[in-house]
Amino acid sequence: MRLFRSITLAFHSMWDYKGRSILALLGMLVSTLLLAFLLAVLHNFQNSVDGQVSGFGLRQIVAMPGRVLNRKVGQFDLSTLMSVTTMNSTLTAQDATNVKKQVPDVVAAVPQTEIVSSAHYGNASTEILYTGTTVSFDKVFRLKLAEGRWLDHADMNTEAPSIVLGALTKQALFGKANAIGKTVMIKGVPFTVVGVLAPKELIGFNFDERAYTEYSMVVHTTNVTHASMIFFSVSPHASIDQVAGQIDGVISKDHGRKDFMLVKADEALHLVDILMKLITAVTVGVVGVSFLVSGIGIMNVMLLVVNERTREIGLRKAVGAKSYQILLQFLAETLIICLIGSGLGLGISVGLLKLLGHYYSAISTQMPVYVVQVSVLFSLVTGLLFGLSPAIKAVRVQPVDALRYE
Amino acid sequence: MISLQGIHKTIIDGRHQVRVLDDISLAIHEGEFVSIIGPSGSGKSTLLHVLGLLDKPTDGQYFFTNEPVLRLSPGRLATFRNRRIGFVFQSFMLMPRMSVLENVELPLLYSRLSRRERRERCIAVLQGVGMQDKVKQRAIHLSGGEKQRVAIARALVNDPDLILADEPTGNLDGAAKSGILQIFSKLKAQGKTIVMVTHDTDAAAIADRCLRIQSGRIVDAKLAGGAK
Ligand SMILES: Nc1ncnc2c1ncn2[C@@H]1O[C@H](COP(=O)(O)OP(=O)(O)OP(=O)(O)O)[C@@H](O)[C@H]1O
Ligand SMILES: [Mg+2]
Repeated sequence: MRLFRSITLAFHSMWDYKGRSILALLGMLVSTLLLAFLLAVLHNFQNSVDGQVSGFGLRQIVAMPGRVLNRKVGQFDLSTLMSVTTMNSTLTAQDATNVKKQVPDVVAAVPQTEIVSSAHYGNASTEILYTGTTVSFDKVFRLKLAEGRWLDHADMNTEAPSIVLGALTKQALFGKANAIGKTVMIKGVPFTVVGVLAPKELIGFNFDERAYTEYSMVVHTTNVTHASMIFFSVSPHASIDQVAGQIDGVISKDHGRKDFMLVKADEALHLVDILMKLITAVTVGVVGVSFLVSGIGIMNVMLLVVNERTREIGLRKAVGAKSYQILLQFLAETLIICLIGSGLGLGISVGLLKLLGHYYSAISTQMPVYVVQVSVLFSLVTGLLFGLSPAIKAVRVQPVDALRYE
Repeated sequence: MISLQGIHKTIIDGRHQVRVLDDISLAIHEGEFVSIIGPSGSGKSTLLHVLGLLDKPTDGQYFFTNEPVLRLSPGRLATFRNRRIGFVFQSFMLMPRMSVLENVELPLLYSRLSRRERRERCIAVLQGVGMQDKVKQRAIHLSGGEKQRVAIARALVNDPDLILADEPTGNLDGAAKSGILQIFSKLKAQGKTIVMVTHDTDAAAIADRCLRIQSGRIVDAKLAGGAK
């Protein structure tokens, strides 16, 4: 049978029921649009998470203030997050030093502390996170510098302290001008800028709006006494769980009680994974309902079409069409409506993705091939399921009934 | 070539049983032209539908070239209709949106011919009925006589053994009517087997034999022939 002719026939019969056909087509369009767009966004988001993790590394353990109650052994999931109790930090730079000394598999132990403060340069000033840390910090986060260098040992404990600016901090104070060697005032202390960070994105972290200096400098110039986090890098061959146990032992012993928690990077990623799966499941559920509704719409249109074309069906059977040929003809017509709808939906979702990428440059605008495949598959399956009953109705038409049909 | 034996057709219409065909027996020879006349509602179309394997009788036997065709499966029946029977329906039964060519081509879509062979056959039969100049025209724009010519061309396109025509001159006036009758005379001259239902005495006159039906029974058979 000629495909093109059956497509034009399908169009003609759709034309007789313009309103309903457009609604049916629209239903399929919206369903595909939802499915393709949401899946693509999720996919791209997952990709950027994966990309960011490679900029941090999975072999990290972070000590944070607060405690997790009723934590199940070896599990880190949504309920863990819900049972975190916040408390003031009791972590110190000394904890980092002690762990580094006592746990050989910890290759770096980097405390971080911070407070919101304002930074001044000439007439310009901006709110920043005034952050204290150590020389290994840049290695833990694999930081890239846009200008200058990271803090080094010579910068520590000097009368003329050095500072490294985050990308946005530098932008706010200096604009496009060179910042290296200039003096920035924070908490009444003049700092010499030695480096500027390249912009960096990592979910849950903010690098760009900070200014980094030596840890004790922050402790001396503010009323901050404790570290907000301590980052531990685990050596390549050690077991992360074992090392976490050892860190836990050292800090708990020093504090006399467990008043902190340890988060393993791979567990955090696992949490993101769970969230993504949850969102994907919800998406597929909602989109499934949408396909169901549009499938019913298409079925109704096709039932009307079969009714309208009783004479044609009877004639075709009278001149020799077999039942399966009639079945295929009407299934094909349903599938064509579905494919056109989903094609348009895919086209629009690609456009929307580009638009979204225009406003949120962090999200990549690519439409993965598997999303296109899944969308087309969904619409084909919908077409087959809901095209079946109209097609069977067409098969049931008897030539004589059609010949007597006016 | 064709033999009907004791054909009954009873239709249940609500609570009533309607006897549409009542013990019809009939033999038609190859190359014969049989006309069927009778009042409206006497069962002429129903008989033709049975002959054309479009409708099943409630009782009786039907042999087509010695084959008991009532026992064929639906799929084989479809093929049989497609290859061996050409039907001209009472109301043209053309697809209004399709072109003349596409209408004529319809039976060939269910045969195994290539696109080119289909085209060639369609043009040939359309030439035979004098419609070769309106091949591209849509059926909806044709006159009644033209529609009937196209419907006849469609019945002929598969080169069937048996041509069945249900009042082919029914809705036509003088000139159009004689044009159609000329086509049937020509088919008869070519040796085709034809059964034609008609109200019209002119039309009945060109047949070899004329059967009269009343209330589903054959009541009269003019001229020599094999009618019982
Ligand atoms: N499906 C059906 N349901 C009820 N009655 C039917 C059905 N099919 C045929 N009939 C009846 O059978 C009888 C014969 O119908 P048929 O169409 O064969 O008549 P006909 O001789 O062709 O008439 P006409 O000359 O008007 O075409 C009619 O009375 C008709 O009402
Ligand atoms: Mg009739």
